[in-house]
Amino acid sequence: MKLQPRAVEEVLQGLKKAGVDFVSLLPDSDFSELQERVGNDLDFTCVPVSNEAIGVGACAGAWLSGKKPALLVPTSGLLVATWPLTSLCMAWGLPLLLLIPYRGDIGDAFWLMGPYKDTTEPLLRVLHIPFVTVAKTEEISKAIIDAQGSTISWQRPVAVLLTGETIK
Amino acid sequence: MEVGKARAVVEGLREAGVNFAVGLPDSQFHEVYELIAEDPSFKYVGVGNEAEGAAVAMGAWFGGKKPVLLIATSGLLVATFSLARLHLKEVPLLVVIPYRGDLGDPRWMGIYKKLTEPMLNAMDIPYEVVKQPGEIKKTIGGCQACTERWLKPVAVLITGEALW
Amino acid sequence: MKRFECLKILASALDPSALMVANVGPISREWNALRPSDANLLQVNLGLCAAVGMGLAISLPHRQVVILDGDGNLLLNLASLADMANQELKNVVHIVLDNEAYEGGGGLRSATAGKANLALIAEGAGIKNVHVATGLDFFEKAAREALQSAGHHFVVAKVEKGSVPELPTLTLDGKEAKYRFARYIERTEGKQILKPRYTHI
Repeated sequence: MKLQPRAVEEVLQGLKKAGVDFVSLLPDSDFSELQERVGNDLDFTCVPVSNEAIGVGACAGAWLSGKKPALLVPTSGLLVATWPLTSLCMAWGLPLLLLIPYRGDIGDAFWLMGPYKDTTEPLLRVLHIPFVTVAKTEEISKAIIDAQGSTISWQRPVAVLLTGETIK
Repeated sequence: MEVGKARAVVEGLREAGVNFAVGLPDSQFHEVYELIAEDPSFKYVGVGNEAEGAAVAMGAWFGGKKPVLLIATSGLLVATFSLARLHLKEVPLLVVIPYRGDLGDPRWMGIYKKLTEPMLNAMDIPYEVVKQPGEIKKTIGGCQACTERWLKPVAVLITGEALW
Repeated sequence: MKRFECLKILASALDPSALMVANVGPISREWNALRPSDANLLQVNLGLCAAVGMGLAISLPHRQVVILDGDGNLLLNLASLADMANQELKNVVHIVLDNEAYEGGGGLRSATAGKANLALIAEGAGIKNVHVATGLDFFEKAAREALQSAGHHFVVAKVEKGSVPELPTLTLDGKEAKYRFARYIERTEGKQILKPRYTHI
Protein backbone atom coordinates (compact mmCIF):
# COMPACT_ATOMS: atom_id res chain seq x y z
CA MET A 1 0.00 0.00 0.00
CA LYS A 2 1.34 3.41 -0.89
CA LEU A 3 0.37 6.97 -0.19
CA GLN A 4 -1.34 7.82 -3.52
CA PRO A 5 0.13 10.60 -5.74
CA ARG A 6 -2.86 12.93 -5.27
CA ALA A 7 -2.70 12.32 -1.54
CA VAL A 8 1.01 13.21 -1.56
CA GLU A 9 0.16 16.57 -3.17
CA GLU A 10 -2.59 17.24 -0.67
CA VAL A 11 -0.32 16.41 2.27
CA LEU A 12 2.38 18.77 0.99
CA GLN A 13 -0.11 21.57 0.42
CA GLY A 14 -1.67 20.99 3.80
CA LEU A 15 1.69 21.09 5.56
CA LYS A 16 2.68 24.32 3.83
CA LYS A 17 -0.63 26.05 4.47
CA ALA A 18 -0.43 24.95 8.11
CA GLY A 19 3.02 26.54 8.36
CA VAL A 20 4.88 23.31 9.14
CA ASP A 21 8.58 23.85 8.44
CA PHE A 22 10.35 20.92 10.15
CA VAL A 23 9.63 17.28 9.29
CA SER A 24 11.26 14.25 10.86
CA LEU A 25 10.80 10.71 9.52
CA LEU A 26 12.26 7.24 9.29
CA PRO A 27 12.82 6.25 5.67
CA ASP A 28 9.89 3.99 4.74
CA SER A 29 9.48 2.55 1.25
CA ASP A 30 5.68 2.73 1.29
CA PHE A 31 5.83 6.52 1.63
CA SER A 32 9.00 7.20 -0.27
CA GLU A 33 7.42 9.68 -2.68
CA LEU A 34 6.25 11.96 0.11
CA GLN A 35 9.58 11.65 1.88
CA GLU A 36 11.49 12.54 -1.27
CA ARG A 37 9.29 15.55 -1.98
CA VAL A 38 9.68 16.81 1.60
CA GLY A 39 13.42 16.19 1.46
CA ASN A 40 13.82 18.17 -1.76
CA ASP A 41 11.55 21.06 -0.77
CA LEU A 42 13.38 24.06 0.65
CA ASP A 43 10.31 25.10 2.64
CA PHE A 44 10.99 22.18 4.97
CA THR A 45 13.92 21.24 7.18
CA CYS A 46 13.82 17.47 6.73
CA VAL A 47 15.53 15.33 9.38
CA PRO A 48 15.72 11.59 8.71
CA VAL A 49 16.17 9.47 11.86
CA SER A 50 16.98 5.85 12.61
CA ASN A 51 14.16 5.43 15.09
CA GLU A 52 10.99 7.40 15.57
CA ALA A 53 11.73 8.03 19.26
CA ILE A 54 14.74 10.06 18.11
CA GLY A 55 12.37 11.81 15.66
CA VAL A 56 10.05 12.89 18.49
CA GLY A 57 13.03 14.21 20.46
CA ALA A 58 14.29 16.15 17.44
CA CYS A 59 10.81 17.64 16.88
CA ALA A 60 10.69 18.68 20.55
CA GLY A 61 14.00 20.50 20.15
CA ALA A 62 12.72 22.07 16.95
CA TRP A 63 9.53 23.38 18.54
CA LEU A 64 11.45 24.84 21.47
CA SER A 65 13.55 26.65 18.86
CA GLY A 66 10.54 28.21 17.18
CA LYS A 67 9.98 25.71 14.37
CA LYS A 68 6.67 24.03 13.57
CA PRO A 69 7.47 20.33 13.51
CA ALA A 70 5.67 17.29 12.13
CA LEU A 71 6.58 13.63 12.43
CA LEU A 72 5.75 11.32 9.55
CA VAL A 73 5.36 8.01 11.37
CA PRO A 74 3.78 4.71 10.32
CA THR A 75 1.60 2.70 12.69
CA SER A 76 4.59 0.54 13.60
CA GLY A 77 6.74 3.55 14.32
CA LEU A 78 4.07 5.00 16.61
CA LEU A 79 4.80 2.13 18.97
CA VAL A 80 8.50 2.93 18.88
CA ALA A 81 7.75 6.57 19.66
CA THR A 82 5.65 6.00 22.78
CA TRP A 83 8.38 6.82 25.31
CA PRO A 84 9.17 10.37 24.18
CA LEU A 85 5.52 10.99 23.29
CA THR A 86 4.92 10.38 26.98
CA SER A 87 7.98 11.70 28.76
CA LEU A 88 8.39 14.81 26.61
CA CYS A 89 5.18 15.64 24.79
CA MET A 90 2.68 14.53 27.44
CA ALA A 91 4.72 15.35 30.55
CA TRP A 92 5.80 18.78 29.35
CA GLY A 93 2.89 19.68 27.10
CA LEU A 94 4.56 19.95 23.70
CA PRO A 95 2.82 20.39 20.36
CA LEU A 96 3.58 17.87 17.61
CA LEU A 97 1.70 17.08 14.42
CA LEU A 98 1.75 13.34 13.81
CA LEU A 99 1.07 12.22 10.24
CA ILE A 100 0.27 8.53 10.33
CA PRO A 101 -0.34 6.49 7.21
CA TYR A 102 -2.72 3.91 8.67
CA ARG A 103 -1.06 0.64 7.68
CA GLY A 104 -3.03 -2.17 9.24
CA ASP A 105 -6.41 -0.52 8.85
CA ILE A 106 -9.13 -2.69 7.28
CA GLY A 107 -8.22 -3.16 3.63
CA ASP A 108 -4.52 -3.73 4.27
CA ALA A 109 -3.92 -7.31 3.23
CA PHE A 110 -0.32 -7.63 4.44
CA TRP A 111 -0.24 -10.05 7.41
CA LEU A 112 2.66 -8.25 9.08
CA MET A 113 0.44 -5.23 9.60
CA GLY A 114 -2.18 -7.17 11.53
CA PRO A 115 -1.43 -5.91 15.05
CA TYR A 116 -1.75 -2.25 14.11
CA LYS A 117 -5.50 -2.25 13.86
CA ASP A 118 -5.53 -3.31 17.51
CA THR A 119 -2.83 -0.97 18.67
CA THR A 120 -3.10 2.30 16.78
CA GLU A 121 -6.31 3.92 17.97
CA PRO A 122 -6.19 2.48 21.50
CA LEU A 123 -2.59 3.67 21.80
CA LEU A 124 -3.45 7.20 20.64
CA ARG A 125 -6.24 7.28 23.23
CA VAL A 126 -3.99 5.98 25.99
CA LEU A 127 -1.47 8.68 25.12
CA HIS A 128 -4.26 11.31 25.16
CA ILE A 129 -3.47 12.21 21.56
CA PRO A 130 -6.59 13.44 19.76
CA PHE A 131 -6.76 12.25 16.18
CA VAL A 132 -8.72 12.67 12.98
CA THR A 133 -9.06 9.82 10.47
CA VAL A 134 -9.06 10.86 6.81
CA ALA A 135 -10.25 8.39 4.19
CA LYS A 136 -10.87 10.82 1.30
CA THR A 137 -8.06 12.63 -0.52
CA GLU A 138 -9.89 15.98 -0.73
CA GLU A 139 -10.14 16.11 3.09
CA ILE A 140 -6.43 15.75 3.77
CA SER A 141 -5.32 19.37 3.56
CA LYS A 142 -8.03 20.73 5.87
CA ALA A 143 -7.43 17.95 8.40
CA ILE A 144 -3.73 18.80 8.53
CA ILE A 145 -4.39 22.53 8.91
CA ASP A 146 -6.94 21.90 11.68
CA ALA A 147 -4.72 19.43 13.50
CA GLN A 148 -1.77 21.80 13.35
CA GLY A 149 -3.83 24.68 14.75
CA SER A 150 -5.02 22.52 17.62
CA THR A 151 -1.64 21.06 18.49
CA ILE A 152 -0.14 24.54 18.85
CA SER A 153 -3.03 25.87 20.93
CA TRP A 154 -3.49 22.83 23.13
CA GLN A 155 0.24 22.11 23.56
CA ARG A 156 -0.16 18.40 23.06
CA PRO A 157 0.37 16.13 20.04
CA VAL A 158 -2.49 15.75 17.55
CA ALA A 159 -2.55 13.04 14.89
CA VAL A 160 -3.90 12.74 11.36
CA LEU A 161 -4.50 9.12 10.31
CA LEU A 162 -4.45 8.62 6.55
CA THR A 163 -6.48 5.66 5.32
CA GLY A 164 -9.04 4.58 2.70
CA GLU A 165 -8.41 5.88 -0.80
CA THR A 166 -5.43 7.96 0.37
CA ILE A 167 -3.23 4.89 0.78
CA LYS A 168 -4.75 2.35 -1.57
CA MET B 1 12.88 -2.19 48.01
CA GLU B 2 13.35 -4.18 51.24
CA VAL B 3 15.56 -7.18 50.72
CA GLY B 4 12.88 -9.56 52.02
CA LYS B 5 10.43 -8.38 49.38
CA ALA B 6 13.07 -8.46 46.67
CA ARG B 7 13.84 -12.03 47.72
CA ALA B 8 10.15 -12.91 47.39
CA VAL B 9 10.21 -11.66 43.79
CA VAL B 10 13.31 -13.67 42.95
CA GLU B 11 12.06 -16.83 44.70
CA GLY B 12 8.71 -16.47 42.99
CA LEU B 13 10.48 -16.34 39.64
CA ARG B 14 12.68 -19.32 40.45
CA GLU B 15 9.78 -21.42 41.70
CA ALA B 16 7.83 -20.58 38.54
CA GLY B 17 10.68 -22.06 36.49
CA VAL B 18 11.98 -18.76 35.12
CA ASN B 19 15.67 -19.10 34.27
CA PHE B 20 16.46 -16.13 32.01
CA ALA B 21 16.09 -12.52 33.13
CA VAL B 22 16.46 -9.41 30.99
CA GLY B 23 16.36 -5.90 32.33
CA LEU B 24 17.40 -2.30 32.43
CA PRO B 25 18.03 -1.26 36.01
CA ASP B 26 15.27 0.64 37.79
CA SER B 27 15.94 2.29 41.13
CA GLN B 28 13.09 0.72 43.05
CA PHE B 29 14.02 -2.80 41.91
CA HIS B 30 17.74 -2.36 42.53
CA GLU B 31 17.86 -5.24 45.05
CA VAL B 32 15.97 -7.59 42.71
CA TYR B 33 18.52 -7.01 39.93
CA GLU B 34 21.39 -7.64 42.29
CA LEU B 35 19.91 -10.86 43.71
CA ILE B 36 19.19 -12.20 40.24
CA ALA B 37 22.64 -11.32 38.94
CA GLU B 38 24.17 -13.33 41.84
CA ASP B 39 21.82 -16.31 41.51
CA PRO B 40 23.21 -19.18 39.41
CA SER B 41 19.72 -20.42 38.53
CA PHE B 42 19.25 -17.34 36.30
CA LYS B 43 21.08 -16.09 33.28
CA TYR B 44 20.83 -12.29 33.58
CA VAL B 45 21.23 -10.04 30.55
CA GLY B 46 21.35 -6.29 31.09
CA VAL B 47 20.29 -4.17 28.10
CA GLY B 48 20.54 -0.51 27.21
CA ASN B 49 17.03 -0.25 25.82
CA GLU B 50 13.92 -2.12 26.98
CA ALA B 51 12.71 -2.71 23.42
CA GLU B 52 15.89 -4.69 22.83
CA GLY B 53 15.19 -6.40 26.13
CA ALA B 54 11.83 -7.73 24.97
CA ALA B 55 13.45 -8.98 21.78
CA VAL B 56 16.29 -10.65 23.72
CA ALA B 57 13.70 -12.38 25.89
CA MET B 58 11.88 -13.60 22.79
CA GLY B 59 15.13 -15.00 21.44
CA ALA B 60 15.71 -16.78 24.74
CA TRP B 61 12.28 -18.37 24.59
CA PHE B 62 12.96 -19.69 21.11
CA GLY B 63 16.17 -21.06 22.61
CA GLY B 64 14.19 -23.05 25.16
CA LYS B 65 14.54 -20.71 28.13
CA LYS B 66 11.78 -19.31 30.36
CA PRO B 67 12.35 -15.58 30.27
CA VAL B 68 11.24 -12.66 32.43
CA LEU B 69 11.49 -9.01 31.46
CA LEU B 70 12.18 -6.75 34.43
CA ILE B 71 11.45 -3.17 33.44
CA ALA B 72 10.18 0.09 34.87
CA THR B 73 6.87 1.76 34.02
CA SER B 74 8.92 4.12 31.85
CA GLY B 75 10.58 1.13 30.22
CA LEU B 76 7.20 -0.32 29.25
CA LEU B 77 6.76 2.76 27.06
CA VAL B 78 10.12 2.22 25.38
CA ALA B 79 9.29 -1.44 24.74
CA THR B 80 5.87 -1.01 23.14
CA PHE B 81 6.82 -1.84 19.58
CA SER B 82 8.81 -4.92 20.56
CA LEU B 83 6.02 -6.20 22.81
CA ALA B 84 3.48 -5.71 20.01
CA ARG B 85 5.68 -7.84 17.74
CA LEU B 86 5.84 -10.57 20.38
CA HIS B 87 2.08 -10.82 20.04
CA LEU B 88 2.48 -11.51 16.36
CA LYS B 89 4.70 -14.47 17.09
CA GLU B 90 2.60 -15.65 20.05
CA VAL B 91 5.55 -15.75 22.40
CA PRO B 92 5.03 -16.08 26.14
CA LEU B 93 6.80 -13.50 28.24
CA LEU B 94 6.42 -12.67 31.89
CA VAL B 95 6.92 -8.95 32.48
CA VAL B 96 7.50 -7.81 36.07
CA ILE B 97 7.15 -4.08 36.67
CA PRO B 98 7.67 -2.09 39.85
CA TYR B 99 4.63 0.18 39.61
CA ARG B 100 6.32 3.57 39.93
CA GLY B 101 3.85 6.39 39.57
CA ASP B 102 1.05 4.52 41.32
CA LEU B 103 -0.79 6.36 44.12
CA GLY B 104 1.62 6.66 47.01
CA ASP B 105 4.79 7.13 44.97
CA PRO B 106 6.52 10.16 46.47
CA ARG B 107 8.20 11.29 43.24
CA TRP B 108 7.02 13.30 40.22
CA MET B 109 5.89 10.33 38.16
CA GLY B 110 2.22 11.06 37.76
CA ILE B 111 2.04 10.22 34.08
CA TYR B 112 2.60 6.54 34.79
CA LYS B 113 -0.63 6.26 36.75
CA LYS B 114 -2.43 7.66 33.71
CA LEU B 115 -0.68 5.38 31.30
CA THR B 116 0.50 2.05 32.63
CA GLU B 117 -2.70 0.06 32.97
CA PRO B 118 -4.43 1.63 29.94
CA MET B 119 -1.26 0.90 27.94
CA LEU B 120 -1.25 -2.75 28.97
CA ASN B 121 -4.93 -2.96 27.99
CA ALA B 122 -4.28 -1.30 24.63
CA MET B 123 -1.48 -3.81 24.04
CA ASP B 124 -3.77 -6.69 25.04
CA ILE B 125 -1.36 -7.70 27.82
CA PRO B 126 -3.27 -9.13 30.79
CA TYR B 127 -1.86 -8.12 34.14
CA GLU B 128 -2.19 -8.60 37.86
CA VAL B 129 -1.52 -5.91 40.47
CA VAL B 130 0.18 -7.08 43.69
CA LYS B 131 -0.15 -4.88 46.76
CA GLN B 132 0.82 -7.19 49.60
CA PRO B 133 4.22 -8.81 50.06
CA GLY B 134 2.56 -12.12 50.95
CA GLU B 135 1.04 -12.34 47.48
CA ILE B 136 4.16 -11.74 45.42
CA LYS B 137 5.23 -15.35 44.90
CA LYS B 138 1.76 -16.70 44.19
CA THR B 139 1.01 -13.97 41.65
CA ILE B 140 4.27 -14.44 39.82
CA GLY B 141 3.67 -18.19 39.65
CA GLY B 142 0.12 -17.72 38.39
CA CYS B 143 1.07 -15.18 35.74
CA GLN B 144 3.97 -17.31 34.49
CA ALA B 145 1.61 -20.27 34.07
CA CYS B 146 -0.84 -18.06 32.14
CA THR B 147 1.82 -16.72 29.85
CA GLU B 148 2.77 -20.28 28.90
CA ARG B 149 -0.83 -21.38 28.37
CA TRP B 150 -1.93 -18.30 26.46
CA LEU B 151 1.30 -17.77 24.49
CA LYS B 152 1.32 -14.02 25.06
CA PRO B 153 2.99 -11.52 27.37
CA VAL B 154 1.45 -11.24 30.86
CA ALA B 155 2.50 -8.58 33.36
CA VAL B 156 2.82 -8.39 37.14
CA LEU B 157 2.62 -4.86 38.57
CA ILE B 158 4.11 -4.61 42.05
CA THR B 159 2.88 -1.72 44.17
CA GLY B 160 1.78 -0.62 47.63
CA GLU B 161 3.24 -2.55 50.55
CA ALA B 162 4.69 -5.14 48.22
CA LEU B 163 6.96 -2.47 46.71
CA TRP B 164 7.62 0.16 49.40
CA MET C 1 37.51 12.36 38.48
CA LYS C 2 34.29 13.72 39.83
CA ARG C 3 31.41 14.72 37.59
CA PHE C 4 30.78 17.87 39.65
CA GLU C 5 34.36 19.03 39.04
CA CYS C 6 33.91 18.53 35.29
CA LEU C 7 30.69 20.53 35.40
CA LYS C 8 32.44 23.32 37.32
CA ILE C 9 35.00 23.58 34.55
CA LEU C 10 32.26 23.67 31.94
CA ALA C 11 30.34 26.35 33.82
CA SER C 12 33.42 28.55 33.88
CA ALA C 13 34.16 28.05 30.19
CA LEU C 14 30.66 28.29 28.80
CA ASP C 15 29.40 31.34 26.97
CA PRO C 16 26.29 32.66 28.78
CA SER C 17 24.30 32.44 25.57
CA ALA C 18 25.10 28.77 24.95
CA LEU C 19 22.07 26.49 25.11
CA MET C 20 22.41 23.50 27.39
CA VAL C 21 20.36 20.30 27.31
CA ALA C 22 20.73 17.99 30.33
CA ASN C 23 19.08 14.75 31.42
CA VAL C 24 17.04 14.01 34.53
CA GLY C 25 18.80 12.96 37.66
CA PRO C 26 22.02 14.10 39.28
CA ILE C 27 23.29 15.82 36.12
CA SER C 28 20.41 18.33 36.01
CA ARG C 29 20.65 18.93 39.73
CA GLU C 30 24.39 19.54 39.72
CA TRP C 31 24.31 21.71 36.60
CA ASN C 32 21.49 23.83 37.95
CA ALA C 33 23.52 24.49 41.08
CA LEU C 34 26.49 25.66 39.01
CA ARG C 35 24.81 27.60 36.22
CA PRO C 36 21.15 28.30 36.89
CA SER C 37 19.85 29.86 33.68
CA ASP C 38 16.85 29.87 31.43
CA ALA C 39 19.25 28.85 28.65
CA ASN C 40 19.29 25.40 30.31
CA LEU C 41 16.77 22.80 29.18
CA LEU C 42 16.82 20.48 32.17
CA GLN C 43 15.06 17.27 33.15
CA VAL C 44 14.99 15.74 29.69
CA ASN C 45 14.07 12.13 30.34
CA LEU C 46 16.12 9.04 29.57
CA GLY C 47 17.51 8.59 26.09
CA LEU C 48 16.34 11.85 24.61
CA CYS C 49 19.03 14.46 25.31
CA ALA C 50 20.93 13.86 22.08
CA ALA C 51 17.76 13.88 19.96
CA VAL C 52 16.43 17.08 21.54
CA GLY C 53 19.88 18.65 21.20
CA MET C 54 19.93 17.69 17.53
CA GLY C 55 16.54 19.36 16.99
CA LEU C 56 17.79 22.54 18.66
CA ALA C 57 21.09 22.57 16.78
CA ILE C 58 19.46 22.12 13.37
CA SER C 59 16.83 24.76 14.09
CA LEU C 60 19.23 27.34 15.56
CA PRO C 61 22.46 26.85 13.60
CA HIS C 62 23.89 30.16 14.87
CA ARG C 63 23.54 29.14 18.55
CA GLN C 64 25.94 26.84 20.36
CA VAL C 65 24.17 23.75 21.71
CA VAL C 66 25.85 21.83 24.53
CA ILE C 67 24.44 18.41 25.42
CA LEU C 68 25.11 17.03 28.90
CA ASP C 69 24.47 13.34 28.46
CA GLY C 70 24.94 10.19 30.51
CA ASP C 71 26.18 6.79 29.35
CA GLY C 72 22.90 4.98 30.07
CA ASN C 73 21.04 7.88 28.57
CA LEU C 74 22.91 7.73 25.28
CA LEU C 75 22.82 3.94 25.12
CA LEU C 76 19.03 3.97 25.09
CA ASN C 77 18.96 5.67 21.71
CA LEU C 78 22.44 5.01 20.43
CA ALA C 79 21.39 5.64 16.84
CA SER C 80 21.12 9.35 17.74
CA LEU C 81 24.88 9.52 17.12
CA ALA C 82 24.50 8.29 13.55
CA ASP C 83 21.61 10.64 12.89
CA MET C 84 23.50 13.62 14.31
CA ALA C 85 26.68 12.83 12.38
CA ASN C 86 24.77 12.79 9.13
CA GLN C 87 23.51 16.30 9.79
CA GLU C 88 27.10 17.68 9.68
CA LEU C 89 26.40 20.03 12.54
CA LYS C 90 28.77 22.89 13.23
CA ASN C 91 27.40 24.04 16.57
CA VAL C 92 27.31 21.04 18.91
CA VAL C 93 29.38 20.06 21.91
CA HIS C 94 28.15 16.67 23.14
CA ILE C 95 29.56 15.72 26.53
CA VAL C 96 28.92 12.29 27.98
CA LEU C 97 29.54 12.04 31.71
CA ASP C 98 30.27 8.33 31.70
CA ASN C 99 30.13 6.82 35.17
CA GLU C 100 29.48 3.35 33.73
CA ALA C 101 26.25 3.11 35.71
CA TYR C 102 22.58 3.95 35.84
CA GLU C 103 23.14 6.29 38.76
CA GLY C 104 19.65 7.76 38.77
CA GLY C 105 18.30 4.22 38.67
CA GLY C 106 20.14 2.81 41.68
CA GLY C 107 23.72 2.60 40.42
CA LEU C 108 23.86 -0.70 38.55
CA ARG C 109 26.35 -1.16 35.70
CA SER C 110 25.76 0.09 32.19
CA ALA C 111 27.26 -1.38 29.02
CA THR C 112 30.24 0.98 29.26
CA ALA C 113 31.30 -0.77 32.45
CA GLY C 114 31.84 -3.76 30.17
CA LYS C 115 33.01 -3.70 26.58
CA ALA C 116 31.18 -0.72 25.10
CA ASN C 117 33.31 2.28 24.18
CA LEU C 118 31.20 5.32 23.40
CA ALA C 119 34.10 7.23 21.85
CA LEU C 120 34.73 4.47 19.30
CA ILE C 121 31.00 4.20 18.65
CA ALA C 122 30.84 7.95 18.02
CA GLU C 123 33.76 7.72 15.59
CA GLY C 124 32.10 4.80 13.87
CA ALA C 125 28.92 6.85 13.60
CA GLY C 126 30.88 9.48 11.68
CA ILE C 127 31.72 12.07 14.33
CA LYS C 128 35.24 13.36 13.78
CA ASN C 129 36.17 15.42 16.86
CA VAL C 130 36.10 12.79 19.58
CA HIS C 131 37.98 12.88 22.87
CA VAL C 132 38.09 10.76 26.00
CA ALA C 133 39.06 12.44 29.25
CA THR C 134 40.06 10.49 32.33
CA GLY C 135 41.63 13.42 34.17
CA LEU C 136 40.47 16.95 34.86
CA ASP C 137 43.34 18.69 33.07
CA PHE C 138 42.64 16.89 29.82
CA PHE C 139 38.91 17.40 30.25
CA GLU C 140 39.41 21.13 30.68
CA LYS C 141 41.61 21.31 27.59
CA ALA C 142 39.20 19.26 25.46
CA ALA C 143 36.12 21.10 26.72
CA ARG C 144 37.58 24.58 26.17
CA GLU C 145 38.75 23.69 22.68
CA ALA C 146 35.36 22.25 21.83
CA LEU C 147 33.49 25.24 23.18
CA GLN C 148 35.68 27.66 21.31
CA SER C 149 35.59 26.11 17.88
CA ALA C 150 32.87 25.40 15.37
CA GLY C 151 32.04 21.79 14.62
CA HIS C 152 30.48 18.72 16.16
CA HIS C 153 32.52 17.78 19.21
CA PHE C 154 32.06 14.63 21.30
CA VAL C 155 33.79 14.36 24.66
CA VAL C 156 33.52 11.32 26.91
CA ALA C 157 34.40 12.19 30.48
CA LYS C 158 35.07 9.06 32.54
CA VAL C 159 33.77 10.04 35.96
CA GLU C 160 33.16 8.39 39.32
CA LYS C 161 29.71 7.60 40.52
CA GLY C 162 28.21 9.85 43.15
CA SER C 163 27.19 13.43 43.57
CA VAL C 164 28.11 16.12 46.06
CA PRO C 165 26.35 16.66 49.37
CA GLU C 166 24.33 19.79 50.10
CA LEU C 167 23.18 20.60 46.62
CA PRO C 168 20.13 22.82 46.41
CA THR C 169 17.08 20.74 45.56
CA LEU C 170 15.96 21.12 42.01
CA THR C 171 12.26 21.92 42.14
CA LEU C 172 11.86 22.48 38.42
CA ASP C 173 9.55 20.02 36.69
CA GLY C 174 9.30 19.37 32.96
CA LYS C 175 6.50 21.85 32.37
CA GLU C 176 8.38 24.72 33.99
CA ALA C 177 11.53 23.68 32.13
CA LYS C 178 9.63 24.01 28.87
CA TYR C 179 8.17 27.44 29.61
CA ARG C 180 11.39 28.95 30.86
CA PHE C 181 13.43 27.69 27.94
CA ALA C 182 10.84 28.58 25.31
CA ARG C 183 10.50 32.12 26.72
CA TYR C 184 14.29 32.44 26.72
CA ILE C 185 14.42 31.53 23.03
CA GLU C 186 11.57 33.94 22.33
CA ARG C 187 13.49 36.76 24.03
CA THR C 188 16.87 36.08 22.54
CA GLU C 189 15.73 35.12 19.04
CA GLY C 190 12.89 37.61 18.70
CA LYS C 191 10.35 34.98 17.74
CA GLN C 192 7.07 33.72 19.13
CA ILE C 193 6.94 30.08 20.16
CA LEU C 194 4.14 29.84 22.71
CA LYS C 195 0.96 30.94 21.02
CA PRO C 196 -2.30 29.63 22.33
CA ARG C 197 -4.88 30.83 19.86
CA TYR C 198 -7.58 33.01 21.35
CA THR C 199 -10.27 34.03 18.95
CA HIS C 200 -12.22 36.29 21.24
CA ILE C 201 -9.51 38.26 23.05
